[in-house]
Parts: sequence; structure tokens; C-alpha cells
Amino acid sequence: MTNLEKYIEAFAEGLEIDKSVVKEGLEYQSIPEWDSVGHMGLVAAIEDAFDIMMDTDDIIDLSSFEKGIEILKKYEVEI
Amino acid sequence: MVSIAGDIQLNTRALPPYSDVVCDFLDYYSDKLRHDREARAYGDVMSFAFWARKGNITAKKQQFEEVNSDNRRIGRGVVFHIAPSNVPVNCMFSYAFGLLAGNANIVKIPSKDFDSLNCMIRVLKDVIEEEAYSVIKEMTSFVKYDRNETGYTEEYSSKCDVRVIWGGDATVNSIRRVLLPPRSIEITFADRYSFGILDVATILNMSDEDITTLCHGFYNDTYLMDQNACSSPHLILFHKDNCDDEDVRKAKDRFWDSVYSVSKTYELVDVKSGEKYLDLCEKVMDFDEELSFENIKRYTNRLYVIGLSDISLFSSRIYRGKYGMFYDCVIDSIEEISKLDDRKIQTCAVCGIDEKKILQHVVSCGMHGIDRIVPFGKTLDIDTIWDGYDIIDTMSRIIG
Repeated sequence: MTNLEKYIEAFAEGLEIDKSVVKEGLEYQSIPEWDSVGHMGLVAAIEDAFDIMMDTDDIIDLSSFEKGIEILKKYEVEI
Repeated sequence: MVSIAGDIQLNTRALPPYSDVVCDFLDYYSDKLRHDREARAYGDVMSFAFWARKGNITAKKQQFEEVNSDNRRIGRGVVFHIAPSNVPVNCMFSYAFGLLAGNANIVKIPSKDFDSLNCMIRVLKDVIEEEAYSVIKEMTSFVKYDRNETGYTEEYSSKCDVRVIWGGDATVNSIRRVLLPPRSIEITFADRYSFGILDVATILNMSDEDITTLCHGFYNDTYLMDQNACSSPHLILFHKDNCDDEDVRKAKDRFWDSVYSVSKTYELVDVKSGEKYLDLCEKVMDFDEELSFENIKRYTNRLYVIGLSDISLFSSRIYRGKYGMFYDCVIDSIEEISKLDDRKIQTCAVCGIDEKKILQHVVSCGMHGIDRIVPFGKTLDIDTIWDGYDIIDTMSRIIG
């Protein structure tokens, strides 16, 4: 599985949404599932997928599909 | 008395803090909660699951190991937790702290039923049945009994090494009458009071989006628990610094208007409106002249803001509200927080203020209150350092 596939899978699992919804343009609060509670599930799923521990600032900054890709670079994950 | 979950063996071996089996268990339990359809509906349960996830616990373990590299710590033995009835999920945090410190745990849950807690216990029971966590099962006992059945409190107190009492004051006072073994220790979480400081210039310079985020955070700090949590701010200080009076007026309006906007999602039932109005009337009648209530602003029934002209008359007993009633006051400089020197004060929420500056001020002035300094929106985030205790250290012993 490529990192992009893992990343999409983590979104689908963390937010409990269909993979087809996971794409560029997906933002925090743009769908009902990505609310503050869903956000916690998403962060946990991304951490599990790439075996990383995200800093609090990055957890807050993770506001879109694209932003997440940028943040993961800090953890040496290239998508 | 009803045994809810677990099969405690009181002579089970104590573990070192952050042992692998406990960390694995918390991660597994967190995962099960996050994937449980019912659990996902409860924000407080998800907050616990988020806290207990591998990423967070591993980070905490690393911090712990940095200062305890010589492995001299071990759990004290048995912790008896008397859980709070205002924030039901806290009993699961208390239990997790006890496990992380390396102890077996007897947890008395509230006698009132809470759906979110019942859901967490249902998932817990499944997890501890798994063979990999049989050790955890032997370190676990959740019990439920009426507070009048003091015989159980006496029995569990006589067998524990640490007793944890989640208040309020009346509960702490009543349980304190029950003797503990001479070597046992006690952690008490009594009634507390919290406040916040907003920097005027910061508020004026924030984007509309950032103000809304700040006020959503404040909403979660306060309205979410009807202002009943110890760490929910009641009083907001506006830090004037080099700004003028007009700036202060604008910053206050900007903040409270936005709080009012986000409070529209609050479920304000009639009884809450009535109680809040009555509370306000009583305060005005009893304390107006004495405590310098400058003005009272009402944003429909959702939000009352009582302006104070002078914080030197601060009273943690009087300056508190619920269901959306707050106090505000202007301070010229951070040094003025010394006027709030009260042992009851727990959390100081900040926005636009350097947390270290407050910390230094508390220490250099030898203040008796303020146990936490956190950003707005984070006041309810419970963790292993809470209420002035490092809970993992307190629940474990150190071998010299």
C-alpha cells in the first residue's frame, strides 16, 4: 500500500466515511462527520497508520486533506 | 453493592509506571471505544479514547522516562477511587491514572446512571476478558453502591494504599471521617474556581475566524458542562496593557458578541433560564454595593455578563455563575492577578498572554492558588498533572 493509500484509508477509518469522499478539498467541518469529535478519530487513525505521535499544534492545524499531507512531511512521511 | 466489572486480586503484583501491558491495554481499549457505534456518539467518551490512544500515552511515557531513567518507581499497590458525579467520564481517567502508576484499582462509580459511563464499562468488560489483559482484569474492580452504605467505603478504605476522592467539599469531608491505614495516602479533588485572561490588543487583532474558534473553545470550557466543572472559567479579565478605554470596550463587545453567537447551540431549558435569573437577582440584592457590580449586560437568556469595577474585592464564593452567567473586569497589568490570591483557584485560561509570565508571577509572589495555566478551549482537558498533583508520582512510590 502506498502512503497515499494509507492516508486515504486513515481518513475513511477515522471519520467513518466512504473512501470516495476522501480527496482534495475535504476540509474540517465541510462534512458532518468531520466535526470536533470526528477530528479526534482522524488524528488517532493517522497516527496509527504511520506510527507517529503528532504534536498538539499539528493536531490543531490539521484542517484539510491537503494540510495533513504538508504536516506529515514534518514526520518524514511523504505522500 | 453491585460489582460492575473486573475481578480484583488485592495482592496482585504492583507494576512500574507506564508498564507495557498497561500502555497496550489503554491503546486497545481506546481503539475499541473509537470503533464502537454507541461510544462515538458521546463527546466525553471520545475525549477519553483520544487521550488513551497510543500516540499520547507513548509521548507521556517518554516524558516520564526522561526524569525517571533509573527505574526507581513502582505502584503503591491498591487505589480506591471515589468517582465524581458531575463529570462521569473522570472516573475512567482516574482508573487509567491508577493503572499507569502501576496499581490495582477499586473504582466506586456514581450511583446515578450515566449512559456514556455505562457504554464505557460495557466496552471495558469485553476488553478485560481477553487473555492478553487478564492481568488488567485482576487489577480492576468497578463497584456501585449508595453513599449511605458506608460499610463498603470503610472496607475499601482499610485495604487501599491510596484513596482518591473526587469532590465536592461535602463528599471530601464526609469520606475523610473514614479511617485509612496509617501508611496510606489520600488525593482529594475539592471544589475549585477558575478564571481566564484575554489580552485586549490580541482580541482586536484576531481574524473573525480566530475569534469564532476562541469562542467555540470557551463554549466547550463552560456551557458544555453548564459551568459546573471545577476548571470552567467564571470570571474573564481583560488585560488592558497599553490600550485605551475605547479599545477595551471594543474587545469586550467583540468577545461577548461572539460567545453569544456560538451559545445559540446551547440547550437552554426553561428551568435553567429561571434559575440563572433568580441567581442574578439574589446576587444584585445581596452584594451590589459591597462588590462593585458596574453593569449587567444581558444577551437574551443565553448569556449574562456582570461587569465588575474592581477585582480587589474578588470572592470565589460569589463570583460564580452557571448556564451562561459570567463576570468580567479590566486589569491594567498581569501583576494584578495577585489580587486573586485564593486557595480555591484552580485553572487560569489565557489568550494572548504568555503562560510563563503567569507562572513566574504565581511563584515569585508566593500565591496560594492557580494550579494550571492553559489556553482557552483546553480547560477541561484532564491529564496526569491535575489540581496541583503529579498523579503518577503521587500514586507510585520511589525506592531510594
